[in-house]
Amino acid sequence: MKAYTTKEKIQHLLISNAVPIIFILMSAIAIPLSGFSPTYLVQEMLIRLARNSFLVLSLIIPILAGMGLNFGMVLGAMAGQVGLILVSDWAVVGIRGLLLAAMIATPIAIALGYVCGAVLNRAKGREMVTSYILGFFVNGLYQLAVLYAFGKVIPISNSELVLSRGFGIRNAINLAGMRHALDYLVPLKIGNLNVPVGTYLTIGLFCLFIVWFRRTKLGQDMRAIGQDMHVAGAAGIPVEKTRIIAIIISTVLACYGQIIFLQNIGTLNTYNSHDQAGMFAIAALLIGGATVSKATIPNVFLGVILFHMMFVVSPMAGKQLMGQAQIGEYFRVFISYGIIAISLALHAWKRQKDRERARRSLRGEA
Amino acid sequence: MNEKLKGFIEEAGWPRVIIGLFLLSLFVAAPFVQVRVDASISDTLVRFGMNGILVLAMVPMIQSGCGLNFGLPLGIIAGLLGAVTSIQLAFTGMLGFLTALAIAIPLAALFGTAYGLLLNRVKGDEMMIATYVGFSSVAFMCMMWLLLPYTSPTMIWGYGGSGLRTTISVEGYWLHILSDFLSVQVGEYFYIPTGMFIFFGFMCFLMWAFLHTKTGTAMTAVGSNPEFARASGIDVNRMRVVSVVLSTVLASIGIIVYQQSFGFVQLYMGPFYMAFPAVAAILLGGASVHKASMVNVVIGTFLFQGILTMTPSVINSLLQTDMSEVIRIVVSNGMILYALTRKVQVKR
Amino acid sequence: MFNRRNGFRVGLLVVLVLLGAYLFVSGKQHQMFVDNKEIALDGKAYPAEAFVRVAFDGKEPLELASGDRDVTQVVGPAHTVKIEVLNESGDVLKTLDGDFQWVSTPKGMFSVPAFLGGAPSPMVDSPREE
Repeated sequence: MKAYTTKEKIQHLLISNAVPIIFILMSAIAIPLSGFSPTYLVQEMLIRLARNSFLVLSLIIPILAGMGLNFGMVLGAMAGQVGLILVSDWAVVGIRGLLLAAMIATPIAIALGYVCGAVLNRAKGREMVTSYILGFFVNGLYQLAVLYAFGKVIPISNSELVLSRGFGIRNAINLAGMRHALDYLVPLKIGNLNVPVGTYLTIGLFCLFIVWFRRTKLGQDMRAIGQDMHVAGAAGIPVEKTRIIAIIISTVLACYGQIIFLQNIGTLNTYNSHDQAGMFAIAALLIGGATVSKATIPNVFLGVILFHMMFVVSPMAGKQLMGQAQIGEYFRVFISYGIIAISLALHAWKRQKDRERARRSLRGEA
Repeated sequence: MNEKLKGFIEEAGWPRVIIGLFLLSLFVAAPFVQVRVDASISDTLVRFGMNGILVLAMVPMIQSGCGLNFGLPLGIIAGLLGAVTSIQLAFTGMLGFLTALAIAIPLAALFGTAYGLLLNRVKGDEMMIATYVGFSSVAFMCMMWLLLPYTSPTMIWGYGGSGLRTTISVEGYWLHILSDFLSVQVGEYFYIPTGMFIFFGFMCFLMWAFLHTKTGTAMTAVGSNPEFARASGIDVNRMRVVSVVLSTVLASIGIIVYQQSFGFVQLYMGPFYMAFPAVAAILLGGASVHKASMVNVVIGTFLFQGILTMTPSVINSLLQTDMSEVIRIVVSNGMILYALTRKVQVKR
Repeated sequence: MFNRRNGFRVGLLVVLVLLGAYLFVSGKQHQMFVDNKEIALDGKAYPAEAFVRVAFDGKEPLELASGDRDVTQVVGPAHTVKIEVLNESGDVLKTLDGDFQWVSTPKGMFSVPAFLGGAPSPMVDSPREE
């Protein structure tokens, strides 16, 4: 081991955190351009941190197990939505409604997570693209259920939820009874700022769970599998089973994350809410400096803040800069997709180079 | 007999058999629910011609081992740029169509080269990255459509706004320019877009011929066994770039053919999900993630478009509800999922 | 089959189901009509008050003149109510605190006179919704 000089250390720091640094710079330019007041931005960030962190955190465990970004988290989001639809039909409100929704959604999420894990075990090495397509596929089944089974097979009594034709769920469901039920469970107001303490406490608990989980036997097994599946298998770790468990945990947590997300928003878009959940969560995590193979809790919070800062600011900045808010809107879509593309590419490139280096060292320096 | 049937199902794979039977039953059921079979077949044929080349664009990359080209929107964007520029120049008829192609193809080759060079650096992860390259290029072009200095009044927002419209009609420029060439109209409902089929057939032939040239066989060799290909002196990376360029160029041609039949150029988020139907179609036709042929393209496009045409009309009159969208999602993604999870002999 | 592990699982399942049932009952929101009309229950007549102010579960009070009917939302099965009877000039004549149980949707109307008059349950048949 040779000691690194200060310069090398700084260089390493800059390179390994290139993405967050670029985003901090971009925000630094865009915030003054947008003309939003600091109070507004702080309030927005407080809300969005509560709204999105849980969803993003749910991505960490599959990364630990070397399964990459779990695009299949939308499965969990759909399960959560099914729970919320049923609960709003029964008119169970407040925190009890959220808990009941989570209780109903959990078995669905576990079943979907199991399916997802089993499918991904058949597609080792291309988990990401498979989980991505699986998300679309299950979305089709979800629509089938929500559009045709709800109100026909599954009784829905509240006519406000049902389409005028008599079955199928409406496009938007108002969650007024559950809105902010968790956020303001413990009311706290600092100056003009509403602080969603309840959600922060939940997120905090969840972070502790992740820290604890990493140290358990199961967490260690996952890390071993993440490093090398074959070695882990040879060491007697049940690889396939552990991978399925990782995905189940992620799916269930994504389901809770979606419930938290929606109680904060207050409206459930039956047919789109879950679609965006996956994309935004993944983009946020990557912007926070995580990679396909490594993600930490700080990555999550930094990512949520930076991503949503840009999300809030860019339409106004676009308007000031180009005269069209639309440009800013497209810009943020471009950034979300672009950042995922670049992060994935950089990661794959690095892996390829590592492989080549390993091959060369295997052959020996000829 | 039973053995034969079993063998056939094994060969074709369950999803294909089920979907094939499903389509057949739709055609059988059609007359009983007052859906005209001739109109349905005609619709299927038109959609087949429209989408064929986009599906064909999958072949080169599958053959060279780059997997399914979820980055199809990149080529489509080149095609859109060609189409829009040709309308801007106010070229009509065959001239306009050819201008669109002439502008689109070099652009597609350019994009394809860059895209291919990128994919060479990410071997093994092509599909996921391709998806996001496609998505981000569509989002990038959304900004460009607003900013590019096109001025033709048929294309820009009429009232006060600037930038191009979301859909631009090609009527008066090159609407049905290929479709109507030697087209056959039988009765009121039956129509065969002969010109489009000729063009599609020609493209398939070119592709087939290319795969049998020295470069083409080298490309296939790269896909089936890269180590062996390298050992026999083939430049693997170059072959892969060639395949990506071909795929991108075909996508750009494909979208222009699509537009001349459809009648509209769809900008902004229009190309966003266009890769998925094409991917699903070729897989439905019997291709795998590693191997595809012209037969797969033709059968797959026909089956897939057949389902897309038949489900709305037949299922709707049968159940009085519109389930076509859901069926489309389940069928196309189910097909892709099936192909991705098939146990393949992975060479590591 | 029946070992400690399975026993524990079954127990957990039962606890979860019970918790779910509790959440369902205690979290359910009901639409409740509030009525200040004369009403006859079991042959006994309860006259309407001239003007009352009714607050359920410590929330914003509803004000009802004689013959008024209003609608509100209550959550769960058990409720407290605070009724203030007012005179014409708005002075509080008497105040009554008490609690009552939600019965069921057909009996979804809280009758103020019945409650003030000490009827066994203030919940009466709710009017049919148009």
